Amino acid sequence: MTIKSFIAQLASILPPERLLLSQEEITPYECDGLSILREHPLAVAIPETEEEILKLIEACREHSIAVVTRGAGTGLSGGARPVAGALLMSMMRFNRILEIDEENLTALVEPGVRNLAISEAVSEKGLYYAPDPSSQIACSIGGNVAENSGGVHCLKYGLTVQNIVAMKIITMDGQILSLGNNTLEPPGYDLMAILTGSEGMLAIITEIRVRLRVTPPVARVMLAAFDDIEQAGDAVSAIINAGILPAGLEMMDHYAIKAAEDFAHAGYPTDAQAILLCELDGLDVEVSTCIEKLKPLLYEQGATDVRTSNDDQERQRFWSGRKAAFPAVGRISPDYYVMDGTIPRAALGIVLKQIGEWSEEYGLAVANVFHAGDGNLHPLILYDANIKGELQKAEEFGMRILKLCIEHGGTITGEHGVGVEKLDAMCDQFNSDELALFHALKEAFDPHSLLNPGKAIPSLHRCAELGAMHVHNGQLPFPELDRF
Amino acid sequence: MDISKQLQKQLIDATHRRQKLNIIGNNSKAFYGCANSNSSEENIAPLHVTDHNGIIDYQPAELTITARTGTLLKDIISLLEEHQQMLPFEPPTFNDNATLGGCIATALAGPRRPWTGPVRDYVIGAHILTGDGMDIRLGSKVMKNVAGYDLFRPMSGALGTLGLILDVTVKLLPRPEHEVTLGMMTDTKNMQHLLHKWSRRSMPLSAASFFQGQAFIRLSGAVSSIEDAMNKLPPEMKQTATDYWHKLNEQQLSFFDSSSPIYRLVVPASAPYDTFTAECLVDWGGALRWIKTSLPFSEVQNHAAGLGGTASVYRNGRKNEDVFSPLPDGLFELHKRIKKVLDPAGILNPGRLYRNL
Ligand SMILES: Cc1cc2nc3c(=O)[nH]c(=O)nc-3n(C[C@H](O)[C@H](O)[C@H](O)COP(=O)(O)OP(=O)(O)OC[C@H]3O[C@@H](n4cnc5c(N)ncnc54)[C@H](O)[C@@H]3O)c2cc1C
Repeated sequence: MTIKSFIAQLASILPPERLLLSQEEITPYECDGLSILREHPLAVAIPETEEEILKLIEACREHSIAVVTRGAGTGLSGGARPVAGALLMSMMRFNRILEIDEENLTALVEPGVRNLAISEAVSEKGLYYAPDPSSQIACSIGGNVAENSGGVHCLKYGLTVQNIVAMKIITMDGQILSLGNNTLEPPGYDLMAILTGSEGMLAIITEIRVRLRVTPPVARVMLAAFDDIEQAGDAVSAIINAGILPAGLEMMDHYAIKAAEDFAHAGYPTDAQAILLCELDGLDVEVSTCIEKLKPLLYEQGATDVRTSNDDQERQRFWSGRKAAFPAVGRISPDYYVMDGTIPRAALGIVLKQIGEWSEEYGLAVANVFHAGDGNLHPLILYDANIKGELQKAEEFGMRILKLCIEHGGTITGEHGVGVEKLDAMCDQFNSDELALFHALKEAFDPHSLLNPGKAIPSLHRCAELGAMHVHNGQLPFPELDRF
Repeated sequence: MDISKQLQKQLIDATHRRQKLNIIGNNSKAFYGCANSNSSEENIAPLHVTDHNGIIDYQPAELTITARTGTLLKDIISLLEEHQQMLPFEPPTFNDNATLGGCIATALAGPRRPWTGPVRDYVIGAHILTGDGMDIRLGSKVMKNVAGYDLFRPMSGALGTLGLILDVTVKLLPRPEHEVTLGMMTDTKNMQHLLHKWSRRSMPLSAASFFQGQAFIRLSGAVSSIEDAMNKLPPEMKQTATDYWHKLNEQQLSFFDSSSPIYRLVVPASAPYDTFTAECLVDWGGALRWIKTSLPFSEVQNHAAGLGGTASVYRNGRKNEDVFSPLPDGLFELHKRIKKVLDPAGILNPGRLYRNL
């Protein structure tokens, strides 16, 4: 059983145009959205049917070769980054919408369908799919399920896990299993939850039934400007405390506002230290009532200016800056590093202040643009990879932010996943018993650890070693080596 | 009171002795699940958890509460009421002593469920003991968290077979400002038609039921939106007593007053009604159908499967028979392997969810 015989077997399964072997063809698959982490796979397979997947994984089993499943490759933690010597399997040819069930408001789709394509396909019927990651034009629904992705609207409508009702999976031993069904309560354990956010480690997802919602008749956005970022943070808690559940509640700091305004011309107040974007949706009366309640509340919380969108065009404009924030920051800095910790809302003010202080300490600017209503921070640490040592500084800074999130009762990742990137931080969030349990769960699905091995859950060995390393400033010897 | 250390010791002990355990709160839902597991079988010892109780953390502005398993549901509900908040899934209590642990483990949700979501949607963290006594914290106190596999949601509905829940963190929702209940005489076909129509018009529905020729709905939200919605309803729809939902949820309606098996069918809401001639009570806007019939369970199951759903025996099932819909072999094997991960010796509530699990 050699690599040669493995490749020959693959070639008997897939036509040459769907089996990429040359350096040139493979290079685009070396990383996902976190391009600092790269690895060369043995080959890239692009199956179109479940039968092909079954044959491919059989070949992998026979040759003990790992498989990394890939959606659109927009992940931000290295989840779809190849494992050295593994077969990379792209799911993007599984791109059909199989059924739209208008009666029960669900749609059956293949995993390679783009997130936005679902809403586009049902918009004529007045329906949409709620989770809307900023990458929704590009990312696949399979990737969304594997990462449990969120978006601007998950404060009210939930994450991916709350918006899918069934899925079909292929396990590494070649079984096809159906999880969930088209009802409100499938029997047995909640395997849907286990699979959602499992980062391609447990099974290959081949079909997903998503929940559709009725497009609310009215949606309006309020834009509130603040002179002080802590005040803006506290206003977030005040809104929730007033019994209002906005459809989305986002925050941007001065740096992000300026970058976004230059890029998207959304009409943001560029002198503000922070803005809140608060979307309300539902029936006309309901939305108006909330806005009337929120206006005085926002001023009471220290807002210097509150504007409300009057039509859909204006609403889109208010959002345009937020939606373009990442690329906008990309324009003003050669490189940036996105963090993704979540904290209880009440800690927003204090955590943002601390990040600001560290930013000065490291001499690296930070732009904050994030899902404030969920307490999900996305500090963008700006750096220049061409300046020696800046990337390491940015990573160290990032790690401190994640630890700070844990200290405040939060988590190291709200929606981007652990992948390869946050393996070390996992050692801080979970103890060895918990990690051992996660490894045991993986084994229950994939006993030979052939599916995306080494991702998402650090080995106990790695954590132990890291614990010992803390003495040396958290600097690992040979940081370029993976320590699984 | 925190008795987690004592519970841990009991589990470690039991694992060594291979002593099977029946985790017991206050028994308000003891009837639920397979009957053979309940202490009637001599080799299963009771493990009482109600002394492990108390609210650990309640932050109204975070919309979260963390409480120990033995905390009384009614205490939690009334505390939340003081802050105009609620458990979004409207759990039934069945008696004053129902505990939070039992609520999560059975995952039973009330009339609001189709509109707000199931219990598992709101479980955001769980502190558990595995069968062999490992102290494990899953999830967190924030609603967005994708670090580590999601083993906290599966605690809901596992009937105690995947771990002993020490405490859970539940996400909350603000209570609606106002609620109105309305009813009218009609038939199931018309009700189905109306519900579908309303669902497409963003009606602020929070419950819909059908029983003995009468349709009931509940509207929830701001006073203004309810008034607005009421103008769009058919004129025959009249305001009626709001306690209908409580009686339905707590199974105090005459329908439930029975010693013969009560079946619970979960089907697509759009599934037709007229294929089954049994006494039927409809909840969840058609997605949940309670049925009383003399037909054997297997036939009820076939019927439910034909409608695209599943059936379970809710009350008065036969001893030593599975009460939940059977799973295909491959899936059941996976269930066993997952159970083994969390309960290696298989001592936690064996046979309660499925007789062979
Ligand atoms: C500009 C930008 C903005 C973003 N904004 C957001 C945001 O707002 N919210 C958010 O949550 N994320 C965001 N992301 C992150 C990313 O888009 C999401 O994680 C997305 O869900 C990844 O989907 P993908 O198809 O690109 O998956 P990939 O990156 O290809 O894969 C992600 C993981 O899913 C696994 N996987 C993919 N398909 C399958 C399958 N069929 N079966 C099993 N496993 C599979 C892979 O193995 C990998 O572990 C953003 C990314 C970018 C670049």
